[in-house]
Amino acid sequence: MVKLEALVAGGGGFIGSRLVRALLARNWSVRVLDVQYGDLENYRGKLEFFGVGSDDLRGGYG
Amino acid sequence: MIYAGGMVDRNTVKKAVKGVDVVYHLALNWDGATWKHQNPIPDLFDVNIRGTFNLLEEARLEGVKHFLFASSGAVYGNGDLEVVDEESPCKPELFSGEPGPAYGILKFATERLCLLYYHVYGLPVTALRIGYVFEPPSKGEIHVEDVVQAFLLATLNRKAYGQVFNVACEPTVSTRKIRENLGWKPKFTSRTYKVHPLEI
Repeated sequence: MVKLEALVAGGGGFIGSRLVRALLARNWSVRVLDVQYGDLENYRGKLEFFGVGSDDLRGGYG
Repeated sequence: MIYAGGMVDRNTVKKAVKGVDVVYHLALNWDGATWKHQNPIPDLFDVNIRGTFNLLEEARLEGVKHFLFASSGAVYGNGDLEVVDEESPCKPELFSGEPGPAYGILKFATERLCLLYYHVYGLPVTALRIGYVFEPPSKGEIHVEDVVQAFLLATLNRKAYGQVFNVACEPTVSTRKIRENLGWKPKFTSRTYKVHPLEI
């Protein structure tokens, strides 16, 4: 079976991080788009992160 | 250095979405991890609307199989209905909970933008209107694991495409639609009053 891949925008947050872990448990590949690692600090090696360290509100448009 | 490299940045979103099967949009630019809106409301709308459009556009162009959005029960506002279901009127400008009516309006607006992409472009979209989430839940609140279950049950499920579902606590919010269509069965009905507030 082909491995499914998901992007979770807001994946570092309270609900998002639980969803990310549930997807990993179901053998999905998971990417996270968030400004922070948040609750996924311990999962950094298992996930591909986008946007960490940025600030969309104060950084203006990229 | 501060830079806009999150969902507001189209190139970041393009790279993040490229090749994925499913996009879950639970992102919100507000005031970090608080429920306040100390930032100007127009700025909050700018970044969240733009960010949502970036995700939707890239999902459409990339041919993503399913786009799921975390909406909120705040879209109903605080009407005088005893029970709200998905067909109840939405008056988010009357929402009196935290973090205020602007949040309800933003969630309603972005939810509708997601559905626009279903109706105009055929992008499979599902919106979950999530109630107050706590861990563990108390009366009137919902457990985070039950919210996760709702997302998983909806994922790549044709019955969920183009649909909005309440994911909340009975009896003030009806969850009949998600129970009957997606087989959602909340596992946690704790009455514990220890709360863990969060934001989505």
